[in-house]
Amino acid sequence: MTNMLLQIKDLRTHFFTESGVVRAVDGVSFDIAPGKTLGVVGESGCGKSVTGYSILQLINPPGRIVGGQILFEREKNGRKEVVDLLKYGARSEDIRQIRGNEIAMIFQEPMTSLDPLFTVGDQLAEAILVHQKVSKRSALDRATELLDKVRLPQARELLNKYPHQLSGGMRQRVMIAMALSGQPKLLIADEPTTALDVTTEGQILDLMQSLQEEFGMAMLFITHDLGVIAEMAEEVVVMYLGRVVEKTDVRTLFDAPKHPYTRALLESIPKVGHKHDGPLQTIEGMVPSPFNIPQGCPFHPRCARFMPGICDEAVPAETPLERSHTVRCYLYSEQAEGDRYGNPA
Amino acid sequence: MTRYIVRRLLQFIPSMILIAFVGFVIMELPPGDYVSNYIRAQALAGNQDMVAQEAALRQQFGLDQPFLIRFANWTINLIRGDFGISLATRMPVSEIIGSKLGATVAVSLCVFILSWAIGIALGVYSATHQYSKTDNFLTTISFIGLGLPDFLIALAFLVLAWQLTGQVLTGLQSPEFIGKPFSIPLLLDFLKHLWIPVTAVVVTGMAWVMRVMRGNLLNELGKNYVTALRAKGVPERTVIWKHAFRNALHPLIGALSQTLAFLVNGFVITSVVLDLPTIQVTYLDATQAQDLFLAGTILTLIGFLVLLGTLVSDLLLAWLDPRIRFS
Repeated sequence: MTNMLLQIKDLRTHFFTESGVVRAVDGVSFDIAPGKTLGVVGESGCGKSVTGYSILQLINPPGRIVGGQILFEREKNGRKEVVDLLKYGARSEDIRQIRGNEIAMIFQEPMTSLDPLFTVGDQLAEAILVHQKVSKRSALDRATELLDKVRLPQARELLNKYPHQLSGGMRQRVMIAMALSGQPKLLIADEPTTALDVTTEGQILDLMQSLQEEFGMAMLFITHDLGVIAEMAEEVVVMYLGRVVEKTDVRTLFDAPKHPYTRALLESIPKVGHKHDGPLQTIEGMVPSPFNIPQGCPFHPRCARFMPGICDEAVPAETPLERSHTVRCYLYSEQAEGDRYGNPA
Repeated sequence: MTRYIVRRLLQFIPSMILIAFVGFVIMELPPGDYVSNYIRAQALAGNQDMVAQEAALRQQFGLDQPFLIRFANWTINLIRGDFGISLATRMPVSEIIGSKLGATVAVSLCVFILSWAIGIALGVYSATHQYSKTDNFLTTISFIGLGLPDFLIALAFLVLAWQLTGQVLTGLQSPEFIGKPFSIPLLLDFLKHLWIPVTAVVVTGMAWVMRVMRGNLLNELGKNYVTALRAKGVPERTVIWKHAFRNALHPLIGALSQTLAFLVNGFVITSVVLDLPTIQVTYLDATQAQDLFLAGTILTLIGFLVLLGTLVSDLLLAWLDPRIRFS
C-alpha cells in the first residue's frame, strides 16, 4: 500500500432529497498509483461520477459527503506529505489550491463545460492565473502552448474564439488543455468521450494517453464503456449501486471476471468473430430505485447465481483473491460486512 | 455595428407612425369628440350660448376635417417639432409635458435605480444561500411585494405618515413651496413627499427583480460550466460574479426594454392615489377628455421610449453575449 497517489477509504456521499436519502456512494474504497490509470466502470446511477466529484468536493446540495477519507500524497516545499482532502471545507482555500492545480478534472459535456460569455483564451488564462503569479500576457502565451499540446491547429486565433464557435471535440480538447495548465498529478476524467462521436472519441483517447505519458500524471477514468476501459485503464474498479463490487487489473477483468455483475456486463458486449444466434445478452431486470436499495448484496435481485437466505441478508465483505484482485460476493467467501451499511466488523 | 444601429433607428420611423396612427384611431372610437363633450358640459352648467358655437369651435381646433387629414396634419407638425395644443387647457402640449417631465423622471429614476440595485443584490444573496433562513425570509417578502399592488402600499404609507405626524403627504411638495425657487428647505420638503411613492413602487419592482435574479442565478449555478470553473480552482466569488451572474443577467436586460417606457408610464394608479404631478396622470386625464393632441403626443412619446428601450437592451445583450453578437 506504499506510495499511492490517492487512497479513497470508505467514501460515502449521500443526497438528502425530499423523497428520501439517496446513498449514491456508500462505502467506496480504492487506490490510485502515481502515473497509472484507474478505470471506474458501471451503469448510469452507480455512483461512479459522484465518486469523481467527491474527490474535489464538487458535490452540490442536497448532496453531502457524509463519511470516509481521501488521502492525497502531495509535495509541499520539496517534502512529501499525505493530506485528507475531506478535512478541507468545500469552499476552503486549501481545496481551491488543489483543484485544477494538483488534481484536475474534465467532464462529460464539453458543449456546456465552458462559460459561453468568455473567449477560449480568457478561460485558459483564468485557469493559469488563479494558481500562478504571472502576467496575463504570459498566461496567454502558456495557453497557446497548451492548445498546441492538445493538437489544436492555429492556437493563436483560437484564443479569441468563443465556445459556441467550436465543435464538441475541439471544446473537449480545450478542457483538456485547461486541465493540463497546472501540470496536475491526477486527472479525473468523467466520461470525457461519451458525448462525442466515435471518430472524435478515438482521437481524444489517443491524445489523453500520450499526454498522460508526457506529463506523468495518474488518471481516474470514469466510463460506462468497457471498450474504453480496455483501451485506457490498467486497474479497474467495477461499481454497482454506490459500491465497489470488483477490483482488479484490466487483463483479469476481461479474462477471469469473478463477480456475477461483472460477468453479466461483459456478456452484454457483442464480440467480433463470435457467431452468436439470437438477441444480445442483457442483464435481467432493472437497476433498483436509488431510494430503495435491496438489502444484502445490492445485485441479488438481478443475479443469476442468487442464493436465497445468504445474498439477501447482509452485504458481502470485500474478499481478496490473487494479487490485487478483490471481489464482494458470497460465491467466494462467506464473510459479510459488519453491518448492512458496510462498516467493517 | 454603427450600420446596425442606423438601420434600427431608421426602422423607428414607420413604427412610430404606426403607433401614432393606432393611438389616433383608438381616440376616435368613443362616440363624439372633445368639442361635443365640452358643449354638453357647458349646456349642463346652464351656459346655453355655447351650443351655437359648437361648429366654430370644432373648426378652430381643426376637428371638422376628415380623420386622415387631421392625422396627417398632426403628424407633419409633430415632425416639425410642433406638438399642437391641449384642447382642454389651450396650452401648448410641449409646455404641459415639459412641466411634468421633471417630477416624473425624478420619481421614476429613484424607483428604477433602487428597485434594480436592491433587487439584484438580494436576488444574488438569496440564490447563493438557497433555502437558508435569510433566503426563506426574502422569498416571503418578495411574494408579498409581488402580491400587493403598489398603490395599496402607497395608501398604507400615506395613512401611516398621517397618523404619526398629522401631515397629509400627497403630491411631491407642500403647498407653500410650489412655484418657489430652489432652496434647502424646499429640497427637504420634496424628499419628505418623495419617499412614499418611491418606497411603495420599489417594494413591488424590487420583488420582481429579485425573483428573476434568484431564479436565473440558481439556474446558472446548476450548470456544468460552474462546476468546471470550481474544478479548475476559480475562487467562489469569481465563479459567482464574473461568470454565473453575467450569464444570469440575460432576462433582466431583456426586461430593460420596457423600463424606459415605464419611466413615463409606470405606477399610474399610485400617481392618481397620491396626487403626484406626473405625466401619467396627465395622460389618463387627456384620454378621458378626448384631448386628442395631448394624449396622442404622450402616446407617441411612450411608443418612442419602448422602441428606444428595445434598441438599448438589444445592444446591451449583444455586448454581453457573443452568441448574439456573432449571429
